[in-house]
Amino acid sequence: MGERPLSPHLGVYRFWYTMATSIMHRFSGLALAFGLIVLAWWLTALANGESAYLAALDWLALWPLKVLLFGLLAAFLYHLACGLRHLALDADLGFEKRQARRSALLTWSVVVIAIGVFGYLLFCPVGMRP
Amino acid sequence: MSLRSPLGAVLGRGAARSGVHHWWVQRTTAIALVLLGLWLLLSLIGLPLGDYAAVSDWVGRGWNPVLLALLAGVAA
Repeated sequence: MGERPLSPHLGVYRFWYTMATSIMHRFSGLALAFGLIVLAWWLTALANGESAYLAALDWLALWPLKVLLFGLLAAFLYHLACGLRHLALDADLGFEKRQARRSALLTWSVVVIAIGVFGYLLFCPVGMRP
Repeated sequence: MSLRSPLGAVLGRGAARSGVHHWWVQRTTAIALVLLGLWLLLSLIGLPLGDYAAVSDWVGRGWNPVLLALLAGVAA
């Protein structure tokens, strides 16, 4: 077997938003895999009774972990939007270059808005919301 | 006399073996996770997360434990 030649991939394409869309799907997926561990940890704390749960919440109240949670929310929303785009492409919808570029832009726009909305709903204390 | 049909004898023997299975599993779990993930997100928004009793009750109520278990199983 040995060293088989690989056709050029990473170095030869201009880095553009369409490429970023694709890479972010992979990175957000990785982040979400880690997020699954966070979810398991939170559920375990919940299962272990009130004091364990409140201790877990104390950890999550620290700003680095809040930033982490926000990152996970963003990763989730991005992966969701981009994943739907992928499923559409799998069904052979929007495969033309123009359509693909447009759907990439649409994905980013939807994600930014969704992060704003859900970030606000999840992270702004209930008492402060109008 | 063999009970296998000719088709049964050759399915899966080609070069791709069970290749498409992975692809299909990815797609079905993707759709399941879209629905389950959105459900979790929307549920978490409505929950008073600081209140242990409320969250604990929510986990046990109605379809919630089933959906949570499905989410954990499908995601992993």
